[in-house]
Amino acid sequence: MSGAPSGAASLGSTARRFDAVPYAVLVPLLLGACVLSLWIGRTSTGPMLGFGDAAIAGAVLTEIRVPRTLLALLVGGTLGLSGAALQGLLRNPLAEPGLLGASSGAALGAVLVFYFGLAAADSLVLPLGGVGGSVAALGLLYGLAGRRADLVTIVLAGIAINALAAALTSLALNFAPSPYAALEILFWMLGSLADRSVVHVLLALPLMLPGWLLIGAAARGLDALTLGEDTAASLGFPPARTQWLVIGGTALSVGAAVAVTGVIGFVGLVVPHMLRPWVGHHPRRLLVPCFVAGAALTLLADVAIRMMPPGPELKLGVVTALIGAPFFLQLILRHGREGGL
Amino acid sequence: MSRRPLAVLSDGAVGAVAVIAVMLGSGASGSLAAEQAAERREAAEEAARRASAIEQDAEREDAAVSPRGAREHLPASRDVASLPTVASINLCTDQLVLHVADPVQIVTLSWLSADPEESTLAEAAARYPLNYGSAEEILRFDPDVVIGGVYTNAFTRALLRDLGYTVVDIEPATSLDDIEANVRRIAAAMGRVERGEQVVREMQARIARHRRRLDSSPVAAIVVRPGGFTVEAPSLAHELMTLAGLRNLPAELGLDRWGSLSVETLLHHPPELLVFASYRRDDASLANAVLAHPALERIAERTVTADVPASLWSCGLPNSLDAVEMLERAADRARSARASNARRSVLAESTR
Amino acid sequence: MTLRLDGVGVRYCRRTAVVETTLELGAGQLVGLVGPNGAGKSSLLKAIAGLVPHTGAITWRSMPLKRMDRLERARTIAYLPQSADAHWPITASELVALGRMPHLGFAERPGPRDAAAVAWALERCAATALAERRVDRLSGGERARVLLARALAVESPVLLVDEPIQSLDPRHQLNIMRVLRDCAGRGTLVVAVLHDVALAARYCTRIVLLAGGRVVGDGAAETVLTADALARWYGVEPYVARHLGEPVVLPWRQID
Repeated sequence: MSGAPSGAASLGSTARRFDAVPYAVLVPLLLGACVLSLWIGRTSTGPMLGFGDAAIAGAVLTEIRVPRTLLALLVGGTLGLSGAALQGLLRNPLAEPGLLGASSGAALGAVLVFYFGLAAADSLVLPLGGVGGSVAALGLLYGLAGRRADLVTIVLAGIAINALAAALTSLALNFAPSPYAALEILFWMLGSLADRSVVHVLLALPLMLPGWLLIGAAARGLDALTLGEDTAASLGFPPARTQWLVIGGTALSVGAAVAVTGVIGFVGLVVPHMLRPWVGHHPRRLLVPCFVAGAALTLLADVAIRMMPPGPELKLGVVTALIGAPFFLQLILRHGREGGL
Repeated sequence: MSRRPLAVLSDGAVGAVAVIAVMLGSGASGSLAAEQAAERREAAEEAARRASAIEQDAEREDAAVSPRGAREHLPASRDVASLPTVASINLCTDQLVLHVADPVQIVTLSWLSADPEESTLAEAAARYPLNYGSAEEILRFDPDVVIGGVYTNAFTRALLRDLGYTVVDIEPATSLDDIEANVRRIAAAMGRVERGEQVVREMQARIARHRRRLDSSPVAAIVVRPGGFTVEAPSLAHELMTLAGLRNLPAELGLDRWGSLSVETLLHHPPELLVFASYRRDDASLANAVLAHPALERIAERTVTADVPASLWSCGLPNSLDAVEMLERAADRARSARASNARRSVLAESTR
Repeated sequence: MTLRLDGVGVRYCRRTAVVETTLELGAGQLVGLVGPNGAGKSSLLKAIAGLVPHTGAITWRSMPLKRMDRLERARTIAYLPQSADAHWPITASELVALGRMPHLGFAERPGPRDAAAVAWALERCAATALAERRVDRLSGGERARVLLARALAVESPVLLVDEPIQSLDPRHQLNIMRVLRDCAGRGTLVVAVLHDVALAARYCTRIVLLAGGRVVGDGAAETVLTADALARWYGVEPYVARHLGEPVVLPWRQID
């Protein structure tokens, strides 16, 4: 093997450069966001959290702000990770976790639980309904698209499931037992982290974790897909396997996330785009930075909500959409102008 | 006030170290909550033993910023220190609490209750600190009892319950009986059983008065709520209409479950009485645009109309019966219009 | 070191693309898989690459490919599909490095051995200067060289290429063909689907002519790409000659 030293050296340096830079920025950003999130409350800020009583301040910290912070990290990380994975899988920079119907299925599940009045007894029933909904949406996707389905079929099935879930959710809203229930359903669909407890962290995590692992198992397959399905298969990474790993992982982790926080849009779409200029376009290299950046972005958005002037709390999904929609628009414009990425 | 057995976190400990400590400790939160609940009960009993503790209480709450400082300005009855303090986080329960509570008991009400368009007791509610329904706010007020509606703040209520607070969930009233039951539940939770019974007795007396007045010729009426919604049956509003001697026309036409009234239906089945459940009539909104439909105005010209504030019957309250009084007066007007119309048509017949 | 195809057939739903084909292909050969459109060339190549289900057995050094594990098979057979392209704007060296994936474990990072293979592959394809360029900014000829380098970087004993010179100018066509012949010269078995019979005749050490899903000719270019065979299977009358000791087969006129 007559190596060309210059080529080899540049290859090595490229890899190192890509790995170090994003973490040098993202990790301090994430830690900073965590500190802010523990520091800043809806009604008070500061070392004693604005509570004269140390015991109450401790309770606020441990039972309100820490769970909320953790959940923001888990949910944001899930959205960033699954967004990066789906964009890699579909080789389409406009792909989004909501695409497969996992989000809307989870939303429908939670709404149905509400409609049947089960959620009144205990708010935990609501998240359980959401998980059931996302699993049902995945099952339907599998049934519609079949085992060896191509991606176009899957995307079309996802669109159909999204439309069905949206229609059924509207139907449920129509039949809501009371105007207050309808309002609560609408609020829930906008996504929020307000007053979630450790219970919600513990409920979501066992489903998110295997979801992340499935996506992680697909990481090399996503890289291989950069060169198309045939090349990926010839490199030892059959696209069908990658596909179901990513879809299963997304359904589990995003379903669990939506189940406890409602629908939080645009994080999964925006984060991979924000990172590509630094991290490069390798789908695998994007995964972990996207998890970290998704977590940081979601947490910062949630902190921003808490810093708003007094009043009813803004919904997190509204804020992420306010950040994400202009970004999305700019992306489409650039896409149209350059015809590329 | 330091009822929580949690380790006191020093000022500087907020940060990564605290996060890790908390993550390690969070497994025990369930048993902590139980402990806290027990301590809470003990504390309440302790407070009961010191029956004349109101002055001391005021002293203890010396910090001017403390929302409980509000108590000092209110007249104290002899046994108020033994009454549990209460926070309400829902517009409807706010108003029920105001009906039942000793003013000293209320530590906070939700923000909507001070809005005269939303609340029937806005003026009374405005005297109290207001909350936006988040757990952190409620913790500041540290009440003995938290009262909310089953369909609002589900996560907040669950979290407060985890934190050892007594949380009372109130179903929205769909009948007069529901209102009485809700009054009784809230009164019991607040240690105001007698006051609750008094409110219920007053309600029952008013209801009985209205029943006696019931006419044999009900007035065909349509209630148009914001958004063009009508009143379905059975429901609280339907019951209130019936009690006022009205026939709920849309319900008879089968427009159930929040049926929206189309303007066409209204023209096909003209009512004798058109009631507007008025809500922020001056604000521009889609809902009010429906009420301002020109066809409705034309009908309104030929029909007896009445305005009843939406806040009176959107929540089931003891003073929802005020709506019945308004409707009764409107029904009387409609009946006299019916009579004069009949006279006019008889006259027209005879002249021909 | 032989690749054995034993009764290999490929069916798509109702259509039979390849009828039970038996072939023995040896290391160091540059096999030109030629034949008219729809002859089953690409299908046969995909069957060897394991991309389409097939009947019969394919073995490499007596080892059935079906019994190999995914990555072992990927290390044995590299495949460059027709009109391959990169979906993300990565650099040329990153693209070529993807060829090392079958050699790396789950969390394994590319080592000096992989970097050397990438550099070697780029050099073979005269693409070293392109290493840091983004692939979406390369010309068609440059991209074709980089994509071929990706397949070479696998360092597999078998290399399958489907229409590698499609839509390239003559200079790049000759360039790519020379790279393939060099590979064969180093002991790799190269199987190339080719439409250009002239280049196939000139560069391939062996021609396999397919028609209607069957092998209808197998051997050296002069014996397979005869005027008769071209007339019969392609429907063209060729100009056949020798130039500097190498065969020239030039389709000249369509036969009506």
